[in-house]
Amino acid sequence: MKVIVLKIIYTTKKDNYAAVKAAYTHLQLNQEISEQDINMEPMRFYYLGLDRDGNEIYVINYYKDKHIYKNIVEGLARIYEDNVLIVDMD
Amino acid sequence: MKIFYCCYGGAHTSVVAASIHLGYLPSERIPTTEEVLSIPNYDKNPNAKVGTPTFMGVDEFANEVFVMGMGHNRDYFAKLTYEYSSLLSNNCTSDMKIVNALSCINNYIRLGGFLSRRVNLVKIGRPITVFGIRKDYNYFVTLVKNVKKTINVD
Repeated sequence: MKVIVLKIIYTTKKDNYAAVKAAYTHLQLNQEISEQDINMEPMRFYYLGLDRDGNEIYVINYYKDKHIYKNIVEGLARIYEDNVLIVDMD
Repeated sequence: MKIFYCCYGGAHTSVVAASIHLGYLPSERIPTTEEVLSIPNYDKNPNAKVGTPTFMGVDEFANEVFVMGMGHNRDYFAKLTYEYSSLLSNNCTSDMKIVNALSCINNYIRLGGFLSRRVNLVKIGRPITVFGIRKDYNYFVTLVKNVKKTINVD
């Protein structure tokens, strides 16, 4: 059976804490969320780790225009033949 | 290399610049209205698809040419595009180039684009965009020439 590896992107506009917390929970990390992880620069992908299935976990603050952000990410993933899952935290 | 011509909605200026790049439109003369209207994806991209890269073709140097809209926040989305492409191509950002085709825009294209894409008055808006493009066509040609020069230097 072919295993599909995804880039899973926890996406937020205003609630960085929720996105990072969700990513930590996904990765089964029990440690305190660091200040550094919450202070995200907009439109930057922050890599947090690999989950059990080998999926890459990212968080991002998309800043504005959610539909454009989603179209760009999904469109580029199609071009580069990659698999992406956007988890909207708003 | 992947070349992304970007503008506001990915329907007019970026499509014209990409078409000149690919030879769909002439670079030595101003095209006729019919020629502009017959290029693929001209005045087609709906608002909901702004941001989606649309494949236009492959140029003579085997570069893939795309068009995309980036809305008002072009600087942020250009950064996002570079970031995400580097993730997808293993940190190889030299494999792509984003070209801002909005530098060629004028008020006719703005007005026509607004009427056609935003207000859906296609019959009124589309000819105005074509008029605007033909008016400043040499800007588009210069932009594309500069892009091709840059690609060859790189």
